[in-house]
Amino acid sequence: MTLLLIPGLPLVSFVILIFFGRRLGRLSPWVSLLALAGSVFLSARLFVSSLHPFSPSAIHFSFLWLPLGGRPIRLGFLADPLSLTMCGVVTVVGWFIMLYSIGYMKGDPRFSRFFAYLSLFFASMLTLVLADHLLLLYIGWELVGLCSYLLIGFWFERPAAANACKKAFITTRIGDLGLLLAILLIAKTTGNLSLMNLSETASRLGPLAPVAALLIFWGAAGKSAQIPLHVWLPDAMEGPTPVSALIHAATMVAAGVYLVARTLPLFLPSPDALLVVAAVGGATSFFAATVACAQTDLKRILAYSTISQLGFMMLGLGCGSAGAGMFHLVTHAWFKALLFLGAGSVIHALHHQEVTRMGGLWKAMPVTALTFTLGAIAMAGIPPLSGFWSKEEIFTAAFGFSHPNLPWAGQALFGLASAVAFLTAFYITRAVLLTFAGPSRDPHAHPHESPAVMTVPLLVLAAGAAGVGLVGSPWLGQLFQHFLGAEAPHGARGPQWIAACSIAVAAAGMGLSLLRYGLGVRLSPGALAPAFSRARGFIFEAYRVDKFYQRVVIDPVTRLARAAFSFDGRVIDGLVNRTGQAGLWASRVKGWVDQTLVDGAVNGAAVTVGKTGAWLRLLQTGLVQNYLLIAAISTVALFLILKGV
Amino acid sequence: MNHPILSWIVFLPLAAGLLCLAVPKRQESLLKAIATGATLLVLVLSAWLFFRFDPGLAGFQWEEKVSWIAPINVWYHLGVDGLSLPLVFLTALLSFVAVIASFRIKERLKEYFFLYLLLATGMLGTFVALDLFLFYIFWELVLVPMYFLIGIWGGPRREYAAIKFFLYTLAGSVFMLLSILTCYFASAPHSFSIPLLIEQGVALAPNVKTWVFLGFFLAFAIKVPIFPFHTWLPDAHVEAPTPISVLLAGVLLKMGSYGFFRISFPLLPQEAVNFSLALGVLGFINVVYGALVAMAQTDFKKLVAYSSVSHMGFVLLGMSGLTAAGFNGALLEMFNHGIITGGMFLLVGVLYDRTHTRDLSAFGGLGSRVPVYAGLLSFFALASLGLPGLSGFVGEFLALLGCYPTHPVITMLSVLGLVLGAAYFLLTLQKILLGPLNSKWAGLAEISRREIFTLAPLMLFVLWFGLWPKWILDLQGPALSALLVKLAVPHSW
Amino acid sequence: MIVPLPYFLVVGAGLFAMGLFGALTRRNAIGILMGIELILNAANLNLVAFNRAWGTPEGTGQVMALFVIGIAAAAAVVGLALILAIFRHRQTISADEIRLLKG
Repeated sequence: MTLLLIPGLPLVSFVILIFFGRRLGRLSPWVSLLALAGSVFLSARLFVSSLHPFSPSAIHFSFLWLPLGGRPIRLGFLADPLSLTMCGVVTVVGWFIMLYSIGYMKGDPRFSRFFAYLSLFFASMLTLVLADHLLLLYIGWELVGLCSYLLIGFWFERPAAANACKKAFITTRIGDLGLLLAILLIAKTTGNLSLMNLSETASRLGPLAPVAALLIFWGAAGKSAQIPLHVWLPDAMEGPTPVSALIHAATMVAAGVYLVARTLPLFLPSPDALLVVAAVGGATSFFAATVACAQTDLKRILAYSTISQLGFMMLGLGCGSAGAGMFHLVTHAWFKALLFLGAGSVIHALHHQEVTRMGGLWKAMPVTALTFTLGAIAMAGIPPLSGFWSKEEIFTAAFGFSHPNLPWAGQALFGLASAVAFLTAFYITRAVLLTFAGPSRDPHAHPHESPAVMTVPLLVLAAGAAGVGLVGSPWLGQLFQHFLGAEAPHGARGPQWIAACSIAVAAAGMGLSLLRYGLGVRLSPGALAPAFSRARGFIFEAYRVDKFYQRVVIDPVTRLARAAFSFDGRVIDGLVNRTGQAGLWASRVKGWVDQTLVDGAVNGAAVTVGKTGAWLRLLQTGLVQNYLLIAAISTVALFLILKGV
Repeated sequence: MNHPILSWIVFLPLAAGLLCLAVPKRQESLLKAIATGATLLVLVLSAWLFFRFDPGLAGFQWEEKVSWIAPINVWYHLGVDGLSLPLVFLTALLSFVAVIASFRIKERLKEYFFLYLLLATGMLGTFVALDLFLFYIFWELVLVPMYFLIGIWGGPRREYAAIKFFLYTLAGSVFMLLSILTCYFASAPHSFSIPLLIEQGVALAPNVKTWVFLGFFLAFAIKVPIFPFHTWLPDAHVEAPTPISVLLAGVLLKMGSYGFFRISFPLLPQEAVNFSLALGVLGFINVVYGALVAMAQTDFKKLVAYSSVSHMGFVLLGMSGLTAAGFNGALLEMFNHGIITGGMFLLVGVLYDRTHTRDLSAFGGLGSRVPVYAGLLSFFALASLGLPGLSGFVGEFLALLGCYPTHPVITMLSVLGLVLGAAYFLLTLQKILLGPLNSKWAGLAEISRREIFTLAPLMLFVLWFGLWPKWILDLQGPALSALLVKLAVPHSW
Repeated sequence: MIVPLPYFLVVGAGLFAMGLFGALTRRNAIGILMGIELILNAANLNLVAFNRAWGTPEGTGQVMALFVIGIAAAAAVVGLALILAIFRHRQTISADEIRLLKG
């Protein structure tokens, strides 16, 4: 029952806030903070008890939800290391982001509504995380999508936000179809949708396991913004920045990664399925990193960076290592939440988010600048900050990846990962330099440091971003990976040079960025400049994928819809109306027959009577004297007749 | 049988309707009170049925059986089981809600309520009749008041819509009558009793049975409506006044799908199995085609009407699966579609009453002007697009789950309907609620307490069955299991 | 002196003829009414005369005549009232113009 309370408390807070939010006013965030603190506390207790060697590693609670003849569906909650890890990240990082939001959202007309939505998000997200059943996971999955929709469109008066929230929901829903189909497939084949004993499910699926796995991955790709369903995430930045930090960086988008990690036993039997995950993750990661290099909107840089990092996690998972992927998920949640909140702090001060109009902010906003830089370094992967450790895990996993038919796959993935790490270091350093270093490029700006309610979360997250990586580092004996225990941690650590290589790549990226944006060295050779700028435009528009989808998907569907409508009106309804007209025509013919022939006879009789009547009418003059005269004459005539003339 | 409670439920509205006729037409509040009281009483009685129903029994409960027309062996035979009880309750609920929504009607209130209550009797009777003859009478009884309610109180093209509805449905019923008579003469001794015919089976040559099935199919298909017999629906919905649209979508469409469950499937199990693929294909077409056409709409009400076509497709899919999950899903979806689309039509009406337009492009940004209305509209739209936690999801999911083992490819294609559904509902929400406020509606009034009161019970059930569908599934279970046994298909899900 | 029957009959016939003539030829409704009164009086005369001549019990004819007079008076009242009503409506009592009964 404790398990039920973890998502239950935020749900209660949601209900309270949606009904009484307006009356609570400025108190409303505290309701949700309190509820979430309860969830934090409960998860911590579960966490501690799961560490205890003698307690059962999985705590489980379930109830009958759908009684269906012989095959009822029982839903339940499950606390195992994987879900507790995710649970901890969501609740703890989420709590600080929520705290931060009090400052960020101050003065918004829908202040308490914002916290209501956040509470609903936590309830759904924790349901997703703790679900022991694919169906319950799907329910949470869709609900976090809804919260994402509501929160992206929180400032729905802005047309861009209105478009973005719709796009986010529909795009992720396209992904959700995959998950739904996977559920249908698994349900039909094995009749068991439980998330426990997935390896048994996998063996019962037999050759269908990779199909189910890839369908699940399709769903995960939608939520975690992987190619080809990544288009919604950059637009989702229209939401308030804490939302971007919480939902579109730290937690919800990571749900896809979590899902794949959770269902990894379905992927493991098939190297092909794993390769697809790794390849898509790697490609997404590389693609998004290049786009991030060209963006000028601070939040969009971070958005593409998130896509890239999520791809990176997928790459790790695709290499068969749940530990690597999940570890990066955890560290990423901290440093990316930090980066977003830092960006939010900057936006809060400047009221715009164009890095080209920033610069020199470190003097005005020292805390923000410091913590943001820390987050950037953590993401770039410089030891001993958290990003380094988790990236190294992924490098190791990639290097160790083996595919029976493609012996070079591991090396290729490793190369791809290195390139991504290089680009990551490059663009995040660029963002830091453009934002905080150098002279201010906007003379009208009067930046100021954010209030304590915003800077305290920044500091806490910065501490986390710096330190959380240690739990998975070899210094602490890879505690985290042992705790997850999903698979045997890599007995043999990767060669030492992998760590060195990782540091070198990150340093190279940062150095190049420093050269270009810190010292102003022009890197593009003069002759190539035009080509370079054209390429940059193309990359800036994210390879014009949006336009491509508009032309290839949205427009045809719209046209198809119109065609269907006109088909409906002209052909089908036309047929109905034609039938109706035919009926009408037939009845007219029959009406004519009736009138002329049948009615003719009837009317003929009537007409005869009428005519006679009209003629007889002449007798009735209405003059009393006429009648009297006739009466007299008739009497006389009667007499004469009676006399027998 | 101790108390003829079903007769009370069925004929209370009729009695109240006759009472309305005796009331002077100036006394509008009295008329309203009579109609409200009668429907409320029916609602209370059917709720009582709901709670007192014994879900452990597969057979009919509260049966009433009185000889009616002895020479041709017609019985006045009523009864409910897990199949019909949710629908009786749905009808009672929507009738009550729609009466409240009818308070805005200004003209000829007396005739309106008489016809309305007559309609209620017809609908309730259809769901509890266990004699084909009686069923047919109630079925046809629904048409007449509906015709007048659309034709007199409807929109600009009301006469066209009313006649189209009437003739179309009547054309279908004629074939049903033929099928009923065929079944009647095939039984020995001649009988109209549904339970008896089910028990005996219809003793006809297979090809004749096919024709009988098709006869029933045509009648039910028009009512559901199944593509390509659906075009009366948008016209009738758009022209009908709001409360009538609610009943039309909420109850009348269910009469068609109920017919499949009550008559076609158990009476002709072999044919049902033979036609399962066809039903699945038609379900797919309904889902996807309905959604596509809905997407192209500019009229809010028409959009909701086409979304009904799409949702009823899920009912068909569930039905075609011939599995416990599919049947449960189909029945649940019928109920859910009733309350969700009923709510949608009420909300369309709320907006139309204030703005006198249903053109989607005429709105914009209402979310900031009327937040409560926006919340309610979003709620029902989300329920309609199948958001988990709200009841629409459970029905759709079960329908798909049940259809998948039988027709995997069709199911895989049909899930596209979910995306399209999300697309057109979100597009609608965006056009109406989001974006900058259209200055034309700067003075728009917020939804009133009375209107919220009509929506509140529907919301309650949307949430309830979304979160805890077990309750209603327990109720349906035994009846559906019996039906599955009858169909003799391998049991899965 | 006993006046023989034919004398009465001749006078009666004369009265009748005058009355009929008046009723048929007058345009004035009152004239028509007066003609009718004459016809009735002719009948009265005949009734009394026949009673005397055929020795029916004394008084039978006279009583009949008295009835006729009474009825005639009533008829005249109704007739005159009708004529008055018609006059009020139409400002005329010419029988030619009163043809409400024309078919």
